[in-house]
Amino acid sequence: MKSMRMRSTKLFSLACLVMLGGCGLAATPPVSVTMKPAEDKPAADSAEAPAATGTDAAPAESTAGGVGDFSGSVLLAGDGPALPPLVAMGQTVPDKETCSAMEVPNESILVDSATKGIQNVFVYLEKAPAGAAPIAPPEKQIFDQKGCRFIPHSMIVRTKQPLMVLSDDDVAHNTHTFPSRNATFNSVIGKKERKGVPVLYGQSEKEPIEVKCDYHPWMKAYHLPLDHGYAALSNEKGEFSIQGLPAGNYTFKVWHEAAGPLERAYKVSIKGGTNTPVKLEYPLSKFSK
Amino acid sequence: MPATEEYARSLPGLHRVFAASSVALLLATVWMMAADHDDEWRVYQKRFQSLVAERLKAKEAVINTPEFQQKSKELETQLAESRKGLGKLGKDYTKAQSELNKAQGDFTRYDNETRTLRAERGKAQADYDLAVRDELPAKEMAARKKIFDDFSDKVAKQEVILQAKKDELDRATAVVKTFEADRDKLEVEQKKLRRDFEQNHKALAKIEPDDLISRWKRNSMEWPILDGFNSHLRIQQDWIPGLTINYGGMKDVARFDRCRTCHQAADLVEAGNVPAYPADKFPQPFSTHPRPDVYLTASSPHPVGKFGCTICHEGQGSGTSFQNGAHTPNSPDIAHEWEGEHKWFHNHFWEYPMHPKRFNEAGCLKCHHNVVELGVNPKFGATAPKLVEGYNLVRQFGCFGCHEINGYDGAKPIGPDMRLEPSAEEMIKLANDPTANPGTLRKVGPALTHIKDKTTLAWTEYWTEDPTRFRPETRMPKFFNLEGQIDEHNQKLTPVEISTLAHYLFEKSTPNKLLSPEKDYQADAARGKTLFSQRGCLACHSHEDFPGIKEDFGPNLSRVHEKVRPDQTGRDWVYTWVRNPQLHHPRSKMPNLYLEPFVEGGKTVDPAADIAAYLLSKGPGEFKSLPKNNEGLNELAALYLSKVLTKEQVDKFMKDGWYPETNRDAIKGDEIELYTGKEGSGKPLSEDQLMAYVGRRTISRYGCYGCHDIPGFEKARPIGTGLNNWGRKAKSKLALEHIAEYLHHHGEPDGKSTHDRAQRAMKLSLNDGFKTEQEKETETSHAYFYEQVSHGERAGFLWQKLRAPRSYDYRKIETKGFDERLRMPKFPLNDQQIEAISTFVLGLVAEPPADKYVYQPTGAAKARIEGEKLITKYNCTGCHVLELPEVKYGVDTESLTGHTLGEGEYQDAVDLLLKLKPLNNALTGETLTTADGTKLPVIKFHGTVVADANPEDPPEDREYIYELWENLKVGEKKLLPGSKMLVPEANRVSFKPARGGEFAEWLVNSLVSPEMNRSLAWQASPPPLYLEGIKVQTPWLYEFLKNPGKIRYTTVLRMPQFNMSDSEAMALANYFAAVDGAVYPYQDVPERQPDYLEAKENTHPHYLPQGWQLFQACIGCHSVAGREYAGKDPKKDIHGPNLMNVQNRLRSDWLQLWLYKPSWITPYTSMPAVFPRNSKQFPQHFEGNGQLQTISVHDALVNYQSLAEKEPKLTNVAVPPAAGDAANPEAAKPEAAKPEGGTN
Repeated sequence: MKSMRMRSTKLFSLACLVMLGGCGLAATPPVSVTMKPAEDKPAADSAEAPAATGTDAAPAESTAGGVGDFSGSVLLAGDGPALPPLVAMGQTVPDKETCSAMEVPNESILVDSATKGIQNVFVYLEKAPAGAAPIAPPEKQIFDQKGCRFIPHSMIVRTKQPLMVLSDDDVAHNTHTFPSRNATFNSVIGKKERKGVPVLYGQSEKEPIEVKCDYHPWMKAYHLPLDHGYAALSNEKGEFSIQGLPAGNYTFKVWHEAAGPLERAYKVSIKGGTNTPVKLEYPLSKFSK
Repeated sequence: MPATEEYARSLPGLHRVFAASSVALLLATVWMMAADHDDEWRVYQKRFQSLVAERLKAKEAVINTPEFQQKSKELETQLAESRKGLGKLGKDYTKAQSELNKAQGDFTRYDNETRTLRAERGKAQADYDLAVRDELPAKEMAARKKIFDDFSDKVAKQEVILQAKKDELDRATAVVKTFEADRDKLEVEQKKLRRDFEQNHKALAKIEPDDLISRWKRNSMEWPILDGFNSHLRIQQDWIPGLTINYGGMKDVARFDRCRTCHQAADLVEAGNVPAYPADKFPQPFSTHPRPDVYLTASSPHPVGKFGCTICHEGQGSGTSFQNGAHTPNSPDIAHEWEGEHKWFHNHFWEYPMHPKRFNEAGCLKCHHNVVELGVNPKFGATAPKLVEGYNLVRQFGCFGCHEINGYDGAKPIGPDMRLEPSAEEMIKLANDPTANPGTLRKVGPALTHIKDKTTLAWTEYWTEDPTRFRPETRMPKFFNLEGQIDEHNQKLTPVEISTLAHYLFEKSTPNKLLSPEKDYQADAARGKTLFSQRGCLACHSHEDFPGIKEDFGPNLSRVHEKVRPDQTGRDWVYTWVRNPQLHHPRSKMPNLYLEPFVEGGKTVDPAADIAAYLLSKGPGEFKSLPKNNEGLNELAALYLSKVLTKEQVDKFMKDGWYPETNRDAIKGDEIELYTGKEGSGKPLSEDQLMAYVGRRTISRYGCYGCHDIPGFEKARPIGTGLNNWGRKAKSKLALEHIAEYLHHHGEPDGKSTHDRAQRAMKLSLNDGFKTEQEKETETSHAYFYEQVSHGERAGFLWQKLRAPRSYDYRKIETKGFDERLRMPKFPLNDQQIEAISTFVLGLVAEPPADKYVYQPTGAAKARIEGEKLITKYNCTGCHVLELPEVKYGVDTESLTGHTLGEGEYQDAVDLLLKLKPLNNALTGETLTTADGTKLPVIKFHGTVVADANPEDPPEDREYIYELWENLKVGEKKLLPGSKMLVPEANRVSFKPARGGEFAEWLVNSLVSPEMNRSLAWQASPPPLYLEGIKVQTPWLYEFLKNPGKIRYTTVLRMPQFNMSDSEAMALANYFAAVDGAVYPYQDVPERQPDYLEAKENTHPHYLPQGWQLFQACIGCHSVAGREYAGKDPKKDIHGPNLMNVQNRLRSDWLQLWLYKPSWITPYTSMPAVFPRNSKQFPQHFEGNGQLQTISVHDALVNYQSLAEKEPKLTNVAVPPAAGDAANPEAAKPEAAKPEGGTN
């Protein structure tokens, strides 16, 4: 049977080694450990088993070579497409009063007109790097719904920490996840659910997964459950940054909902301190998986 | 002293003679006894005894560890001390003991006295009773009564004393016990510790006694004469009076099986019913039967005491030597080995020797007439796979069309029944005969009644001549130009046979009313291709455009465009066939796929027309008709006619064309085609008529109607030998003809000698010269069969008959008429298939044992068997998964996350889930040793495939992902359906693919796209019929199978309508319930009972209307109460089943669980948990209690119709559940919406 991990059929075999910028001062790890060790077990484990980490070459056993960051921006070569809204104001759709009271924009590809930066690109390591300090998960993870639209549209979720699903709408929604390595969650979220219904991901996913509301078929979002914090989502300007990486070689994945995997194995060598930001640029044709 | 007058002979001479002869006689007697004693079975028994001893010693060594010895010793010391301590207790203890002795003595005495008194009282009672019976005088009666009363008094008094003595005894015992408590405790402890050891050692001491005397005693019991006195070496005999045996034409007598005299371990098992002497460690005759769970053991269905051995294996059960047992070697190389080792020889005089290993399964047929239970069995798995394959081949290739296998002798079942179902006409007759047992199998080939609509004459000729030339995977055999019959007659007359046969079919073909697409409809072949792949055609057919799926239930359709008649009629024929196959053939197995035209985007789409256009898109093929041959035609006609007319009549008829018989009704046979009427009054014979006649004769001769419906042959009988007792066919009746000669010089596909090939195999086998085991197996098998032909054995005859049927005509054709030639066609079978068919046919012996031995299941077991037959008949497994894939893998159980009651779940819901899907123990008891030496427990589970291991990943990251469908118990942890099972590639032990549903899995994979994820793709495909029995109500399923209405809207295809009889639909509906252990055929819906509803109404006024109001919310996805569902975009919006049908369709418990949490039942469904515990909704109903809401919706659904009757307002007016929104029905709609992902 074919693999289910929503891989794009277009294999992007770019394997470029990114130049290493001059590094400045050896940065201290910007993270503080607040988690119980059990929660961040992979990171602890990986120190003993370097082969099982996201790094290719033998990574630093500790932070002897210092820790560095990986940052950059994801850009579109050319202008972003002008996409019509998913639901226009006043359009006849189920739950019209709530759902088409406001326009529901098409968020499948968001490009900043000035910088050409692409928002909502996931840049991540599949596994926590060896010897890296665990990054504490956010205290609260919120996934909201308003105007028949998921907020946020894309998010990185930490495993074993409840994600609270909320709704600010006057109508019921059903939140339906389509994970590969986790059990499906599919439950009604009642109207004006402000307390939140928890979703718990027990396992990391290899790629972001789709989240839908079957009552309102245009409603879509993407979650990337990970058991570590070495991942970033690009902002409106297409910028991303991952901090606290022990010096060494890494293989990152770059993924966007409209393209699928932009990079399956993006190899980077990280030095201690600040590394030169990378620029990842893709043509629009990539974004039609 | 010389002879004297007193003595005729010299006395001393005679003394010497007597002395010598007595010595000789003594020696002869000793020799005789020695020879009698020298049985091979004694050797085996002695050897086995030593094997048993070895095993017991090994076991003892395991128990008798230093720790055990230490502990044992400690206990022994403690015990000795305790005993010593008792001795030291002195006066108190001795006093207590003597008191106990005295009390015991007293009690015994009084007890005896009491018993005597009771007996005397009994006698007095009897005396009085006699007096009453005999009406003795009142005085006498009174006297006797008095005696009785006196004794009663005495007994009563005595019993009081006895009780006192008993109390005294108990007290004295208790006192002693207080002293001895410590010792007793230690004794029990010691016994417990040493139990296994002692038991084992006792068994060992029986074989190898510890002391010399016992050992000598035991050995002496093996000596001649002494061994007659209950020796441990003795014949072991199973006497089976019920399973009689016939020793050749005489009376049936009880069966004696002495096999276990040598095969002493045959039924010995260890805990868990596993062989105690497994065959891989202990060679024959010392090994245990490989399947003790099925055979010989007391807990198996065939305990040895009831069945013995030879009823299945055949052979001479009474024999006690290797040769006399009639062992049969599996191949000549083994025979050779046996000749040396056991002085074995081929004994022609034992008619039914043991089955060789390759035909072991043949014996099952004596009692298992249904066959299918030997292939699919919930408890034992496939117990006779080769036999079942043979049965299936006979079924699929339609052997029974010519060779009827009649399973009945009158009304008595005697074996498997494989007969054609009666013609429509006969069926009506039989319907009124309750004792009739008509055949049940449909003809395997297509009906040829309307062949002219479908194809061309030239193609028909081309096809008939050699079917595999057009379609290599066809099951139609080759009839013409076969090895053994090639000569000038064949070259001349075969083309005439073929062309007249085709001519007859076309001549008799009746035009059918064909359907055609709407006028001006523009068929779209590209869309047709998609529809072809999605609407279910590929569940039965293959096509070269779709190499990913190969199904052979129906023909491969890759070249169908070449054969179809190249005009509008041909195109309409395909259209009609695709649209409604029953119009062409009323008993076709091809179902009606509901390919009705529909409107899409304002345009009509006719799927049948598109599919037809796709199938025909490559254009017609070109086939040339065979040339005319009048000479051959006349020759054949004259030949056939000579069998019914005199030579003069034939000559005259062939010359002037007037058939001699002028009364049409008097013509019985195929000559009916030649009827011309009275000479001069009509028309003389036409060439068409003559061709039709020869064609009809040809069809009669080859029996084409055994597989095809052909006009004119409605009442024709099968042409071949019946096979129902072929396994017992007398060897003398096998027509071997010149086969030995033929195989000596020819016989192999390349024309080489079969004999030489067998010789070579023997040579290589003796010298270990085979390159591979596979080659050895193939070649020695071949040699085996060759040898069987040489010995004129059934297996050999059959083998050659199936390989090259006409080779038995080798050099026979020189002396027989063309019409006498053999007719058995050559089927495209491989060696393995031939062996499977042989296993089946050799097992057909028509010797059913007494009724109690024949497997005649009732209830659920019977329903299963009947269902299995239908599942194969209609290929249900083409679309549907019946059993989910089974995965075994080694897992660190710590890493599994067990289920804990989630915030959204109700305890009652989990309980109901566990009731409907009981927990399966996942631990198999096996372990897996990983690369780093860790031992992991192996667990087993069932679920669907989510992702296979990705070879692009680094090896340590490769994992398979499965979605669990069952409730699993791993130690203390519970895993519920919907859990994802992450199986590292290195840890996967085995993967057993699903049973059935290959098409569904293929379709899912082909539908997965960015717009359609895997869950939605499953919703679009044929559903797995997992636990269908506990899901649907049997009466509903019965109706659905007959007339499948549309249930689900998310699918790309529909359940088709099969050409099923009422009884078949019933059997299949029962099957699903039987498989899942559900109640059938009737189901209760307790929530419809007035008592239940009244009680609910009392606690919750307006109970049902409230539930009704709640499910009005479902309209977001479902049609409710006559209102269409609120979906706007059929492509995107999920559309669930109409809720009106739920009350008759779903079982009550199942529906309740579905409403609680649908993904527990069908993990891929889109239907959400509607009233989760952690999201309060609808506070105006049941105080917002989600569980009560769920139950009320269930109850309203199962009471749908009565509610609709009673509360018409509710059905017509959408009552919004939220009070504030009453004015606005729109707002109420999509509170809860649910497409159903379950089965339809």
